[in-house]
Amino acid sequence: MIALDVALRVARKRTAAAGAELILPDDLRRVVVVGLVAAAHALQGTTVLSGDVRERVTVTLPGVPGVASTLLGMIPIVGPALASLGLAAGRTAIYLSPAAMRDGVELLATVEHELGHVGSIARGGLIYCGAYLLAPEVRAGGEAPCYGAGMAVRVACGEALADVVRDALASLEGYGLDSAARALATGIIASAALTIRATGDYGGIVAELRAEGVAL
Amino acid sequence: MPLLAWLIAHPYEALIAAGALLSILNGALPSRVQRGPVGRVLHDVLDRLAVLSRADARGTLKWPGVASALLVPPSVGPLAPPPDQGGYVEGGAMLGVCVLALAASLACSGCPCVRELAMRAAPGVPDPVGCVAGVQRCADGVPVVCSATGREWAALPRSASGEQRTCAPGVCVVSDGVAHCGAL
Repeated sequence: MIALDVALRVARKRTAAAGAELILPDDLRRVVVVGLVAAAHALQGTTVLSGDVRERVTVTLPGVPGVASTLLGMIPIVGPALASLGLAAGRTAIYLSPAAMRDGVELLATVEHELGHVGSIARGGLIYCGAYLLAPEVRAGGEAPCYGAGMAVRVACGEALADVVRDALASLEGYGLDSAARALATGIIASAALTIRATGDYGGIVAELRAEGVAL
Repeated sequence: MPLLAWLIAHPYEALIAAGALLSILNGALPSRVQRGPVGRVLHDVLDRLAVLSRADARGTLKWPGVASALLVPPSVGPLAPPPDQGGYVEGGAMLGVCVLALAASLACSGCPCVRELAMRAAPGVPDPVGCVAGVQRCADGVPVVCSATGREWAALPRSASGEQRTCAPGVCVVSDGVAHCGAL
């Protein structure tokens, strides 16, 4: 078991090192994000309900710099709110859900998942985010390795590999994947499971957390 | 009598012929006819029914004298609306809105070509390599899985700085068709 305050300290440190910001569930900015994410799920026709988004969905959003920030502020009705609430601050931010703060393990698993997205955004920027929204394949190829990161943390904390694999596959159902994208995600999760079983790690994530002083 | 018989026998053609005569008459009249009492009636009735506008109407095709309407610019151009008028919009902004609306509608339609275009434009999305969907292998120390579009997606996440995580050197293996990192 990892204490929540220890996990939060490590999460803040690793997020800050990535040049990103960690937004806690009671932050007003998350209210806006919850509305946007719920609307996106509704538009895409996924099975995710707005209540689930509010309580369970942690999301990473890119910062919106320069001209894009100005355009964001010009969106009728909600634009000024988005701009003033700091979405346009130019830094990628992780908006934690209340469920992510349930305990230290959940928090670290969630943040390691989201740090994978921070890396994808660092590599691909806003164009990658647009492709993520448009293409189920990008969502599958982007989400599945991040779920692998969370799986690795949970297994290192004592959860059964079969359980975390089942949970990851169930969660991936909420991303509006078509059959081809679902097959891709399933293949990546299968690879992640074998990697975690063989190495007890997943590309060095567990080792990095141990180096931060987390007892895994 | 023969004319009356023809009109009764051909009502539609008679209406068309009447319309043509009406248009010719209206096109031959000058606009100033509307100033007089008779002209006002002509203006209210004739001008609304006729296909052609009057000979000296500005900025319109005229009869007779279509060529002059094409070659000679109207003496007064259309009035530009004031910027503070409700609904006023710059032409460039309107074009931008139309382009955005077109892009959004294409995107929301789930058009495969739009998806493919977005994936090709996005940094971090692998290029198609023509692999077989579902096949896994090791590529530069990273387990990869082939997608339906022939892209090899890494089965490890990126680090927070954006670099692709890899297995420890030399320990990416494929067993039973699944690529993964192995123990050192």
